[in-house]
Amino acid sequence: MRARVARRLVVGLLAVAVVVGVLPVQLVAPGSAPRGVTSAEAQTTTKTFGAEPLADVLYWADQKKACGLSRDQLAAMMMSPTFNETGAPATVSPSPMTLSRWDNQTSLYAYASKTQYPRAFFHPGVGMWQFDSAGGWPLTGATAINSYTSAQQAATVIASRWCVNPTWAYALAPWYYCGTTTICQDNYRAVFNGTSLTVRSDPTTTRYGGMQQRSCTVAGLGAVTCWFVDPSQAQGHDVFNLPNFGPAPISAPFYVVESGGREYRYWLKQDTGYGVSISADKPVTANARSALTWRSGEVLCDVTASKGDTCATLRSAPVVARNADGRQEVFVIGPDGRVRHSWQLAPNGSWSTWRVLGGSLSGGLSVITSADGRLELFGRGTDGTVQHSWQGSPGGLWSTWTSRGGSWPATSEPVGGVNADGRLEIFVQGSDGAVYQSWQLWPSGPWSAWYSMGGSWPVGAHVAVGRNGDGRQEVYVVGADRALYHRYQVAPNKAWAPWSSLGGSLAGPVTVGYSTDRRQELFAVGADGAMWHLWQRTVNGGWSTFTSRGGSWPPSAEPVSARNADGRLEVFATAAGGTVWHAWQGTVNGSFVPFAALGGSAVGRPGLGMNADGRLEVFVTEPDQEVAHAWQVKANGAWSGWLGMGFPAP
Amino acid sequence: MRPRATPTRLLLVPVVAALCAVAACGGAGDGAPVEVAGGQSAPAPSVVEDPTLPTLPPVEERADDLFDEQGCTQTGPDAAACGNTGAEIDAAAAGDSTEDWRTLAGFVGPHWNEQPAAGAPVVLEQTVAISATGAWTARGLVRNETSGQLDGIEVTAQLLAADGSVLASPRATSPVVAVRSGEPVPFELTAEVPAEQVTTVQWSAAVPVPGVGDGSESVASTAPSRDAELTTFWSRDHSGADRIELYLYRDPDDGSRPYLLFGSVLNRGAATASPTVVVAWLDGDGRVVAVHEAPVADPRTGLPAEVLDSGAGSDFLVVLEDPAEGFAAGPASPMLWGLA
Repeated sequence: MRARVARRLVVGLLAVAVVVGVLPVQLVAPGSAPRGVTSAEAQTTTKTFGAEPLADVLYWADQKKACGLSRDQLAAMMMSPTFNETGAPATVSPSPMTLSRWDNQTSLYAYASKTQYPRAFFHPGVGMWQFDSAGGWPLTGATAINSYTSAQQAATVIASRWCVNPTWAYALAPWYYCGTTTICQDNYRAVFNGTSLTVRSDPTTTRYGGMQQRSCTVAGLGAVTCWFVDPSQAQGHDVFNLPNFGPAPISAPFYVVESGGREYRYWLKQDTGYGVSISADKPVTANARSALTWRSGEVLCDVTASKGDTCATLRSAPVVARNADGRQEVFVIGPDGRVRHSWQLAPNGSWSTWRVLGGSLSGGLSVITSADGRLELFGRGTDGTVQHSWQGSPGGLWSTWTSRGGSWPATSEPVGGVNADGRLEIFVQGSDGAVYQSWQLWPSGPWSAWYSMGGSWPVGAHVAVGRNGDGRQEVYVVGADRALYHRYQVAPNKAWAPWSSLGGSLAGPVTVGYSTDRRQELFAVGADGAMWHLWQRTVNGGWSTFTSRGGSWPPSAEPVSARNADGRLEVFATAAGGTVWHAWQGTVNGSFVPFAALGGSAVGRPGLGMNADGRLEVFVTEPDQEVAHAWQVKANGAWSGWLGMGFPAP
Repeated sequence: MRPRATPTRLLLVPVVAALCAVAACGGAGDGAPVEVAGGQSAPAPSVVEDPTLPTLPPVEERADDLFDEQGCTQTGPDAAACGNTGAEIDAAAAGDSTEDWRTLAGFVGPHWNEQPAAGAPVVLEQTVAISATGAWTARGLVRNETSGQLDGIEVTAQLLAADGSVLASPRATSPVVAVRSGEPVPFELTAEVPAEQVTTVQWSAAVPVPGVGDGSESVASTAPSRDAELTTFWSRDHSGADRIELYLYRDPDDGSRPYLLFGSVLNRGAATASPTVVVAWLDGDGRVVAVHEAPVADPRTGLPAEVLDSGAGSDFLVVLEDPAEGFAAGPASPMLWGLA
């Protein structure tokens, strides 16, 4: 017959007074059984208990023994509720990982819905003693499982109550059947013969009961110790795992993190099979039934197991630039927010290993080349500011990251431009939807404040920057009506014309390329899924109509384009399956050939560079977060296969 | 199987409940509540002003062998985890907003306001559950929005019919006396008026006048210790299958199984005579579906304790015999007050 795990049980903080001697209690002499249990009644039936948990019980029993209780008596009393709390039969040890199945309040389910994500369930009672969050115990799910910490609580409660009233009915009343029935007394007799403990020790049931200590990173909390609780890995008697054991579901594997006085539990979608990761948190001592806050849990990386939504996910696509000496350099933001870079050891040559360039960025990495040939990086900081780092000299060392201020929404991706006089300028979307700009007061000089360029663009609208043949900058944004809008400097380095529409029906941001005669050429995925092309008819002049270049692209596909050594434009984009495709002009300024597969397995936008000898090179992030590249084997010519460049972050 | 809750008779219906200011609604008539602030006839609020949050002693003191010298949790013979220090656990337990469930001395629950500003007790209308049928009944919370401790709070509901006539003005005093600044306490009102006839409720709250009306003495001199550490051990739903026979209670022989809530209190303050614990249950919408006061038991006899000494701990058991209350309390979250 299946034993039943107790219900909402043993809650309570150390509210049980340790008041030895306050009340005129009749104490029991050491070595004898508690009142109501005699040595003569001790039964030969024994029980099984985990070896480490038993050591913890004995340790705390020795520490807390009082009021006539010997260590072994208190240890036996401590063990007596665990068999029923876990349903453990005599031959199997109670599982320290036992999770309550009788508490079924709606608030314990993810987002207070019993049907949406039922396996993201916050078990309020945990462990061999089923310490329940309603009691205000200073225990988390992890420390309630851990027999060292949970045995400390059990010893404190039982010993202190025994000192107030040395009866079973009182000392073990927090476990209601102990105070109501003789179950616990029977268990006591089974593990203590009046002289010594008779419990069998099971070395396969450990202090953590199958819970695993791991290292995690959690957005907002940083690097933390986390505890992975997989019910299927429970040691000891794991009847609580049975699907229909109780009215409450059994949780999918989850992580416990302790931080800032709170307990966090995370259910990764990799463990639940749900489309989202979920978290819940509460003050450690608060009742889960009333104090849980449910959130998106896509913030945790199990570093030990390399599992989680934020684990190895790079925070940016590769961006590429060429140093003044012709060596290419590629940059990505790692999962920890630090920028990594790799560079060619010589023009057209092999690549360095990935190195950390620092910073704390959430995304939006872009690179531009200053007028004197130095590379300059911009990105959105995890603090919401625009962050900036630059080479101190062409091809030289990098500066530390410097804030350019502002408080930009997480969807904003700053991009840089260069004025005709060499002054850099940054553009970024604000939380009000407008585009903001800040510029250097003179080349390599200090920066202006932020100024709004107006507009009210959709959340996450990407700003693209181009430059006319005469040096006038031009910015582009796709509006809510899917039309392309632009503003341009009315003269080099001068003021900007108002926003105006260039028409079109676009689903994604534009990328800016240049013809040999410095006409701007724009590409973007249209609302119909095709790649659309728009170009200036003359240098600094008016615009063509949108022309389809075909293909079938997801809205998230962000094309990139570059000019071949011979002047022919080529555009690249990642299709829904991760294959990179490209199309190119058959002749300089001529028509485009249809898109052809370049292969690869890419996640997100490619990065595009050019070697010193004119060979184009494409960089992608693969699904396993390794960066890979392919290159023209000769200028204007055929392409290599894809080759991994290593993992920017472990 | 754990029984499923059935609909309570305290159906939550929208009532046009106008919460009037004390100055406008209170203080009229013999024996009526008096204004806390303002009116010339009002006695000064008793006890000193003390707006600080009554936090429990540090958890590192209450469970000293669970933490090491750095305040980290001892997770093994030679292991410690510093994700949560004792100080952080204390801070999180105390909460930092009115909506937070706080664990404080003599209080567990939400709606504690650290910055009371109204200058008078205020009925928290969003917590009030009013019966839809039968005799008019209301349960809810009222908060001490003064800067000092009050010797109880009296709540009055003026029940108006559709034509504006006053049907009744039930009045009751919270079972929690010694109400600290910012603290919410429960109240329960009934009136021999069909609930369906009530279209508007005008609430008022004030301090009961010591010695006025019922001839009682001021409670200030006998105020119970509020410096108590409260906990709950277990509950049993109404009609639960298990028969309970504790040292302080046994289920009726007729087979009935009332809702039970078993817990404990540790008195960290002065000795208190006839100590009790008050419990109010909040449903999923945050409304009070039941209020009950239970005696603290003598640990040897199980009978109501005559006194709970300073430093002593003892148990309490709440028994909700009313099936409607019991079924409503089962899935609800209990707020606790002690000692009352």
